[in-house]
Amino acid sequence: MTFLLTKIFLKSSMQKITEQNGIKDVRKKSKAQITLYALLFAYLIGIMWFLSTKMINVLKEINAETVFIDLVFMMVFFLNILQTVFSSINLLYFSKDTDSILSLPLKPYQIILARTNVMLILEFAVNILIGLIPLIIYGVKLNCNALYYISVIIGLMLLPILPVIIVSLISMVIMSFSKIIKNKNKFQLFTTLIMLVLVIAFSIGITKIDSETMTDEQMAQTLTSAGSFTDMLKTYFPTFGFLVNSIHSNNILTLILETVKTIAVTFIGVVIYLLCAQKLYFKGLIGSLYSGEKTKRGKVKIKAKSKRLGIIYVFKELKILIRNPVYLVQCVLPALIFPVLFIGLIFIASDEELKGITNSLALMLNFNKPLILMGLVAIMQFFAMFIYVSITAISREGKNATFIKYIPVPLYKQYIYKIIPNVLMNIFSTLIVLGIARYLLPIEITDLIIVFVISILMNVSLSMLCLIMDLKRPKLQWNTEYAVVKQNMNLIFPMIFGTINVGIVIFVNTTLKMYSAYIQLVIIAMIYILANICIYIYLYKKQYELAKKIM
Amino acid sequence: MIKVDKVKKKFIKYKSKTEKEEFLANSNISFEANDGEIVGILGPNGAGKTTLLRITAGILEPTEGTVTFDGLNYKDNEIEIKQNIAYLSGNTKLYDTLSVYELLKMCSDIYGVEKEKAEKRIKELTKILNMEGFLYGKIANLSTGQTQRVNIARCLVHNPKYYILDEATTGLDIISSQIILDFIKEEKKKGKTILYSTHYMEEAENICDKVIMINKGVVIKTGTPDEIKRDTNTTNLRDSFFSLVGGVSNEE
Amino acid sequence: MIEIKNVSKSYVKNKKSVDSLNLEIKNGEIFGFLGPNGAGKTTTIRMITGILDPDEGYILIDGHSIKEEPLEAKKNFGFVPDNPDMFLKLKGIEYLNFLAEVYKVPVEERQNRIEELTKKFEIYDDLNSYIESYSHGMRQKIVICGALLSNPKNWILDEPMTGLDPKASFDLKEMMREHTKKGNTVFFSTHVLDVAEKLCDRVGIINKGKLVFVGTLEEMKEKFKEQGSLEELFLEITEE
Repeated sequence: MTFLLTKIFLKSSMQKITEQNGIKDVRKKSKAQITLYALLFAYLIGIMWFLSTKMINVLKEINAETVFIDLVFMMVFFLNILQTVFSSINLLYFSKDTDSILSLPLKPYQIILARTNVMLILEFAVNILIGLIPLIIYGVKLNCNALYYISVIIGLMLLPILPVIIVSLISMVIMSFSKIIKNKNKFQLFTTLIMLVLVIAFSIGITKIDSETMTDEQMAQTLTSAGSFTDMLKTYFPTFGFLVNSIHSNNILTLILETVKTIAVTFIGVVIYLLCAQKLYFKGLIGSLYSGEKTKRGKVKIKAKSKRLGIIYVFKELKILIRNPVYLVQCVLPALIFPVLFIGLIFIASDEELKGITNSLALMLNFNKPLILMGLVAIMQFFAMFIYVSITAISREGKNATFIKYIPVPLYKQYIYKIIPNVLMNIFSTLIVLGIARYLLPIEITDLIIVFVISILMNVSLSMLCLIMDLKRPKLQWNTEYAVVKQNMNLIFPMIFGTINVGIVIFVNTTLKMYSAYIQLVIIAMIYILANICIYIYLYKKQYELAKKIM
Repeated sequence: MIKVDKVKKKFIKYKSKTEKEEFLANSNISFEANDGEIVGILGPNGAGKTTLLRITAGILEPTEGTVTFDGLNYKDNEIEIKQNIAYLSGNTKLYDTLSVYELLKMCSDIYGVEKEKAEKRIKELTKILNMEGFLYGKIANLSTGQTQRVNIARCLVHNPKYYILDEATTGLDIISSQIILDFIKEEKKKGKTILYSTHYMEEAENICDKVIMINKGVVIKTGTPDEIKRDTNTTNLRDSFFSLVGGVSNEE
Repeated sequence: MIEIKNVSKSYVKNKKSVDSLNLEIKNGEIFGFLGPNGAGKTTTIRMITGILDPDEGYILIDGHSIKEEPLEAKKNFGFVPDNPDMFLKLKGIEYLNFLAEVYKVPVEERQNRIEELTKKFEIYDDLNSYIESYSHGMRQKIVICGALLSNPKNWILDEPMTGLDPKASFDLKEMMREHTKKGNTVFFSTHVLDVAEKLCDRVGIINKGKLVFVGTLEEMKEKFKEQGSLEELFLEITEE
């Protein structure tokens, strides 16, 4: 029964986005999608391979290669926690089928277990994809035997259970305060901010392992100190210790013993979880049926002044984006994380390291200004790859997307209004990056301004192209906002366009190496001004064709 | 028979950060629905219909009062009662990546219906509700009328005795509505007990044996449609409702 | 006035969802558009409002072609779609302010129009809340208020009575009558036949993409020589 329920919940949470015209050539689309997906995956594997090999080598030098296993597991562990934090409340409380489920002759623990299973299954998938690969690389490099792989897989599967349960239980405790659940909007915003803080803290932690700025010895040192952190984890979180030990020991008896210990502890945990959850879960769940607040009955503010339509329209887009926690976290947040990472770099890098970096960069500034400036431009394009605003501008409207077609506002103007938020987000991250660059290096203000302007030009074209892709392949049939921003193939395009932009920057820099920075920058500016004009003309001329898929 | 006895449901509404306000979604509601009877729950939006039905379906607990099903109550016999209820809420497309058949099969399994019985029942429901044309199609591709018929079918796979239907025909076209209304009339003949909420007064006149009119959480009139029309000196339930509610809906 | 001339639309090859539709909705009339689900009602409405392009034929709104002069045409109608779940993250008042700007409602009039409409539908007190927190009926009402804000000459409504409580649908019907008395047009599709019966000057019945009847209700009764209720008539007409 619980298995059946799990299946049901899983299916509804993975609500696939159906194409509007089911008649379209499904096979053709899938092929292209599959290739893109495969390429992206290969790219990720490449990075993982590179990083893992580097770390393993560095650790091998100091005979501490086994620390690598601990580190991977620790990463997976925190990833699981983070994932559950993000998804538990949504999955547990804001599913659409709550009404129907509660009227069925099910025992409470069955419902709880099935919902939790869905989270677990997602965790397993992530663990296998992200955790298994570095560990396989390790296994290959160090010629590990079959037992290693078996214990790794057992570890990756059993590890997430306790974290998921604990986080879910905390969610339930929080949610059983019905006052909070009634204020669904404010609450979601609040939790989003907390997650933001967590993510920032986590990413600052990651930069400690940034191999670019470290020598091998330094890396080894950092890794081993991280390794000692895992020892702390082993003490406080017994199952972590059991599972990792079983891998280290490479002994079948130990494996069986540790696995049994893990299963026992996990089992006790699950029982406690179910007992507590039965009391807590449903209190909050009922509240979710009536969620939605009525705010204070204050004076109704009717805008008596007429602002320009463009400003009001863009504000509307921004409001909808920011007030929706899912969109905020998935579309906007990534763009803000990376610049903040940069800030984090400054604070955690030691003084000498910082001086070292800044000195070498400052030297480069004198000898090869183009490289630095172009480098900055390229970095900003990299950040732009993770802003998913205009690539989802139409899809986010969902069934309401037809609105843009029946109001008396020209379509091309609406397209521009929908692009502006994307550009604004990028301006924000650009300013942070430039601020940091100025802090570290004696770059002249005029240069910074030029880089800023060029970055905007490039971003405008990226944003426009992303909108065009969303118009050509809109995903309008979805039931949860998650589906638009997570299971949406279109999200590849900002990456593609960003990569192309970076490529163009590199190309111009390489071909025109001998010329001054200004000439290179001007050439790029001209390229993108031209591109923007062409794309704009395309948007204007084809405004109706582009909207054909919205119906 | 479903007996609702002096049911009260209190919610706490927060007027501002510090001010709490108690809000009675349902106040002192009592009525009985006999076997083979269709009892209509009528009232405007926000009257408390959905809350009342949720209480009868066991989703909410009343603050006061009881709901019994042939003597059984939720405290002692929750699973038994739920095994015998069909609860229809809203008009949403749930699990719409599945086909109709898969969904019905799935619901049969949840209710623990034996495989053979389930197959028979699904065939039966498909015939009665006219779903042959799209039985194996994906729910996502169905029209509103078809989806609603599927929703009704899915809560009946286990052949329950008590039907609790919350706005079963809202938003449906005439043909789909008619199919559903005819279906409900047929089920009544089989002796089922049916609670049916709607704000289409004409429907209520058409099929209900007894009508409970609710406004702002309070029962304002009970009786057969004819009795109500007679007592309020009107010719149709819509006018009856207005005469009972009259100026009240204009005040706040 | 809405003129639909010889309009056809196919989604799938060789199957017309709307087939050579000819309809003229005159000024001063309330026109009801009836038909079972899948008959082509929604497709027709989408073509009138510019969401879809007809494969053949053309549509004029107050003389402006929806295809050639889209902006002029769109300024002249207010549209209430059948799904009121829009802009859930906006407050009611933000939504109305936005539409006031889109339809260029004169600034002096905005205060009055918004107050008048929302007080009539009894949602004035909820304007500061997010549309997300509104019930289905309230969402329906705010969308109707939004569409009527600029007092457009033509009202196009797709199943507007769904989810409206008796008082609100009563008010809406009254507003429709007042509106057409001033020489304007109301075009709406509905399932609820007796509403059509009491309200519409003329009705059009579409079935399987074709217009099977257009005219007043008396004409319909005469033509099909049925004494039964409108529902029975309708079922007969569409069962063919």
